Amino acid sequence: MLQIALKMLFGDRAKFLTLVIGLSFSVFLLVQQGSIFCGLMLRTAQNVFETGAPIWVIDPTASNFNDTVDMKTSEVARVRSLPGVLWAVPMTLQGGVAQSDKGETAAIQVIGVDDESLIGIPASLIEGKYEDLNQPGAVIISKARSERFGAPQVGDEFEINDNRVKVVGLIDSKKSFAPFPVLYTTMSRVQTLIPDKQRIVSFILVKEKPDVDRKALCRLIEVSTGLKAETLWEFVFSTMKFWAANTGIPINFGINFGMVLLIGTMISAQTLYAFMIENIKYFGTFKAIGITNRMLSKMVVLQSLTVGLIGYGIGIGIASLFGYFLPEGSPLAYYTPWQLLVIILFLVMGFCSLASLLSLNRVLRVDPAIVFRG
Amino acid sequence: MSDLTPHLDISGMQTVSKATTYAVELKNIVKSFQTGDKVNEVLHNIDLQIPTGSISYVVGPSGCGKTTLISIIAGILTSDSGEVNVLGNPIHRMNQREKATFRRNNVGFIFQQFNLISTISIAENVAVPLLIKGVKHDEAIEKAVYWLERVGLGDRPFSLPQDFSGGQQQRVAIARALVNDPKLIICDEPTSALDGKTGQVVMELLKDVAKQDDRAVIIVTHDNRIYRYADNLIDMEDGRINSVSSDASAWAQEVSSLGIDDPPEAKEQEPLDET
Repeated sequence: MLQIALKMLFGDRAKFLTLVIGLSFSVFLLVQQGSIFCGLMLRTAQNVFETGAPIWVIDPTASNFNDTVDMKTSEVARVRSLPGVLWAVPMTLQGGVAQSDKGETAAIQVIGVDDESLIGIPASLIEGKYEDLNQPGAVIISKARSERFGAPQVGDEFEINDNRVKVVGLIDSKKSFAPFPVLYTTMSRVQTLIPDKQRIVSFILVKEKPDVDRKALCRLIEVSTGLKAETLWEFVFSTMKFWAANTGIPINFGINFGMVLLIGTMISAQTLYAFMIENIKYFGTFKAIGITNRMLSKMVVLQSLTVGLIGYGIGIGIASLFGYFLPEGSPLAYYTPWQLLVIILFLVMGFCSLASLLSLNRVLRVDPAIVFRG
Repeated sequence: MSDLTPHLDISGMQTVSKATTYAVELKNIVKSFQTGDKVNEVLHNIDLQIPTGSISYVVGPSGCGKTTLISIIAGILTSDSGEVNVLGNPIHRMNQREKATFRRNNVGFIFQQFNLISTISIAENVAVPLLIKGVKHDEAIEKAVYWLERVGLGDRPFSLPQDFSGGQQQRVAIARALVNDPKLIICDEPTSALDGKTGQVVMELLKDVAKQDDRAVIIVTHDNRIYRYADNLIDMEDGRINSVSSDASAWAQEVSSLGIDDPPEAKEQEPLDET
């Protein structure tokens, strides 16, 4: 009878297509809105990802990448001396003002990295050489948002806080959420560019030795130094939480997501319900012939979940194509984590199950005498 | 009346004892429906016996209680009071689940509008009662094809119902009603959606394939063109049985002589070449 149930579903092509299109569109919208939300939130921690350090140590009163409190340089040595630490290097994040020779100005973020190791500069250098950072006034520019002060190329010069700098490399990084161009240089040069700072270490980047538990090392650093230590993902989430708590992004997207969920999926569920009710005469016939309620329930649930799964598959397929064909460097943030797909799967299946339960209630209560009513 | 003590045997093939004279025995059946605050009694103290090996017609004007009566006999509706013994089983004592099992094993249905599922083949439609019983799909289809052959539709078993005429669809419905070898066939206006000629053909077929010594066929109908096929006529009016006549052919003759009906000579037609 389950085979019959599926044939009943697929056989009525118009209704089946209506159901699948409705569900697919809902799923597409859910995945798309969810992916834009995730993409935006990831952008808030873009610099953290690109730096890639496994452990981030910050001042205990700081909270994330965008909310820093600079530490003394000596803290780096304290962390480095701890057992289990393979390496520990300083990193700084400072603000400044860049001005091109044409007079274009822009507020910028200057990230200073360890002079010797250069750990912390993203690996996506597309032009120039890392070692050229040793040249006087050398900086590496992230291409993202560099157009805000004339999109300087390798060899170009401009000023930061009235100090002359020269571009020795270009990094192909994604846009971060903060709307500032990002420059990378050495710690010592940051001290030149941004003078009068007694404390300049915003982060200590740490790598654990092999076979050392990363989280355990974080706890050791915290206990031993009084600083705050987080793994890469903990730090990413701290940064995301900061933006989520201090902007309207989650609420706005939450409302969007909720509306799509409510309208799209509820319409599909309603269509599914209508499909079941339209078949009630057939279910009545089955009941007259003597089908059990259990088998009838299985048939209804199978039909609902089948439509749900097909709609889900097509919906995420379209959403994936949407993301895949987004042009390189698109201003639209788009990231689809697998967790989002799982959540949406459960939501869609939940609504389909709800629709099937509602229709099942009608189907199971159908009076088999309906078959004698012409 | 049967002298067999009613027993609850819903296992299927053994339901009819050799000692059973009547397939259906109703005693003092009362049935009413509630509409708002108003209770409307549609069957009043019905007593009825329907023998096996017969085709019995339940006739009467609309609203006289025919459909309610066969629904109670089939175990679809429950009477308010009285005893319903069908094939030796006390239906009135069964719960809904037992009634469903009873119907699954013992009753075949033929409906006015055929009630064929439009999205599955006629073979699958015929196989539905077997599939509901848990017979494997292939085996059920094989048996369905056999029955389709018996009703003259064996050449296109995997076509959809809409590829067939009304008469042919009713033949499919007959095959579906018989595939499970039920001992009671309930037909609700089997010819009213068909033209006169097709109706005669369907009745010929029903008589040929359904009528057996151990099986009762009950037909609710308004269609006096097919009275000639009845062994018994149960005439109802206002929820009561007016008369039960075993001389149905006389009745048909009487109806015909009144000019109400002009039945075609169905017996002279080839029953299975209707398209």
